[in-house]
Amino acid sequence: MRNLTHRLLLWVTLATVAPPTLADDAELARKTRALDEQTQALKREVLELGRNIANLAWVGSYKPTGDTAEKNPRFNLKALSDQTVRMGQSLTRLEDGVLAPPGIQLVVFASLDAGEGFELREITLNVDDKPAVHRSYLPEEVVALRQGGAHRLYIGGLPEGTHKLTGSITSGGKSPQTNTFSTPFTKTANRKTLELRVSSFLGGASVTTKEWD
Amino acid sequence: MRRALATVALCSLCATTAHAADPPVKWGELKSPYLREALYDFAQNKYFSAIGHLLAERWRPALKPEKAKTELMLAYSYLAYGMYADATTVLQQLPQDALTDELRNQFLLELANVRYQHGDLLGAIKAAQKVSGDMSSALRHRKIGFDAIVLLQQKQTDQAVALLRTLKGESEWSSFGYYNLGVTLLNTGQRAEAEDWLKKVVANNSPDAESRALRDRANYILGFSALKAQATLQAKNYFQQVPLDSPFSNRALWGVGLTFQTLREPKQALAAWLELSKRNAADRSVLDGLLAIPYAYAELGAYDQSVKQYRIALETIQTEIKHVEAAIEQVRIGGMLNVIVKNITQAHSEAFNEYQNFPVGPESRYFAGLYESHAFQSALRNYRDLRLMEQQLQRWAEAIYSMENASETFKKVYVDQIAAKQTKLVTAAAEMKQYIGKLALAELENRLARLHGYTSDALFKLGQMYDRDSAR
Repeated sequence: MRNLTHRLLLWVTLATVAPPTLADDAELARKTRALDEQTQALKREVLELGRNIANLAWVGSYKPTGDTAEKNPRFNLKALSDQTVRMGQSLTRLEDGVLAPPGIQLVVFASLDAGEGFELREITLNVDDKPAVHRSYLPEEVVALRQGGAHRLYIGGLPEGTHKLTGSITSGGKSPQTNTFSTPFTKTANRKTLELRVSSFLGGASVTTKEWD
Repeated sequence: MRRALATVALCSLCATTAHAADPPVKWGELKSPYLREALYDFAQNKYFSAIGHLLAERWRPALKPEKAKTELMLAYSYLAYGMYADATTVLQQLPQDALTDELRNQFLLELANVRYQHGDLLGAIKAAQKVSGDMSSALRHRKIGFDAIVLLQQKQTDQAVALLRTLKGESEWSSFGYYNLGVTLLNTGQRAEAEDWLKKVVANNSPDAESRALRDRANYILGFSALKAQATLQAKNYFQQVPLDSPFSNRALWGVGLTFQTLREPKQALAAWLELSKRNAADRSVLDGLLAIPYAYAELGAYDQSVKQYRIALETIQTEIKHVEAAIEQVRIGGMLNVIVKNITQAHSEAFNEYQNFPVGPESRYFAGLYESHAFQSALRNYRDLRLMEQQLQRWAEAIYSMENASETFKKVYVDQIAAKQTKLVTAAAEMKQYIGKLALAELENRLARLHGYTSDALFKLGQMYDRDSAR
């Protein structure tokens, strides 16, 4: 009996002391590092290309004639947005640069100013009463919003002048509520950034708007 | 908070999991929505997107009041995305007074950790050496733990032990240090002191998954240590502290069986091993249990049962051999790797680097050991990033094609650039895939060799049983 235990313990000892050769092999470490550096270089190149696209795409296609994007639409924003939603991906800033030149941009962010009891489900946004975006939020996105993150809800071109954001927020668990909001704003020649701060109000949601630039 | 499992121990627990860097800037402290947009991405582990946002916005005057935070967030995003050289450059360009000592030190330790995980030991040491000045006790614990890991890696065990002994107090990092100290002492024969440190790990009753895993490991190591010292009751107690649903419960069950065997309670030993034998035979402890069962029956004089159990063990091992051979074939033709990579590339999050987040399924169950190696983690992560970049480039190309009223010449300039990058990515991804396959094959062939070893052992023992039967 003692012999068996001794023998089995020896197995254990051998099993536990044996070092993982793959991780510790110097040649392996060198190869791993070389491939890693190659990947880093490619990441750098792709990010740089993306920045170029964002910064230069609109320069190449946009001649500032005083016309607005709305009067002279160069970019089929809705088609691209729909395509993006279908792909289940949010547009990155790099792609946004392709969509609308900064000078005519309206950028709308959504943020959350509510505790864990508040469940944000959907936001529908209209710009000047025209449907702009309808967005459902995944639980992990709501967590990111709750932690102080801001989601770029909409980007598009807009002429100078007075405009209006309207829309609705759907929130809640088993019996969701939908609340509407309406916010007028003035667009100048520069990029306009608005933040819709969603908070809990009487079992539903309310929105306050902050203008950033 | 995600923590690196900064644990280097000598008993096959060398898993230092790569992990995403935690942002040093507290949520809510940031004002600009453009900066908080990057944080929104970061919180969801979408680092490429976070970097893209920050690169596009960092030059804007609106972000000037939050310049240091923007740059720090960019540096952390680079770090989390595996671009540690760029992360270092951004940090170095920040004015010295832009960051507190704590933030700078935290970043440097993250950087050291990432470099270490990517096989750059020298770079890791250089980064860690720059950590200086005032720091919190948690950060000091982490620094000590990291320096000790590097010393252990360089086989400077005495220095590592001396350093780890300077750990004082409790923090989220101290348990890792105590654990490493305990295991290192145990492996150098200093059992009494080793057990004291491991008991400190066991005493930490934090409910988070990492603490539980560390506790379970410490318990079964304490169990084997006690068993070796013939302290069987203590051993049994330690093993039984490991919950049956713990990832380490197979080893604990194996230990429980050994303990009862030592206590001359063979029926209870068999009960533990029979329970173990019902589990997945891909685990080494289960195979050990399978062979221990007939051995124990033979010791009890139950020769028929012993022969029967040897046959069962052999059948199980043969089935396992077939599975591993099939897996090898799958790796050779690319099938298994495709499944693993598909799981990874379909994940919404880019933070698949903690080993708990690796895809677990029949295709990848043989890679548990590999998943813990930096080389495999790094290669998988890089492969996944390369593939995701390919998809990203495709979306950019589609976006450019969809632009209305842009000249074809203009579109072609960018689409050609995208195509050139796609070609490079495809080539690099193919090379990475080949490398991953090589690592996977090495792991599977090691496993196959071990299984053949178990087969030889079982056949030899079975032969002895037949000889004994003939002699009766």
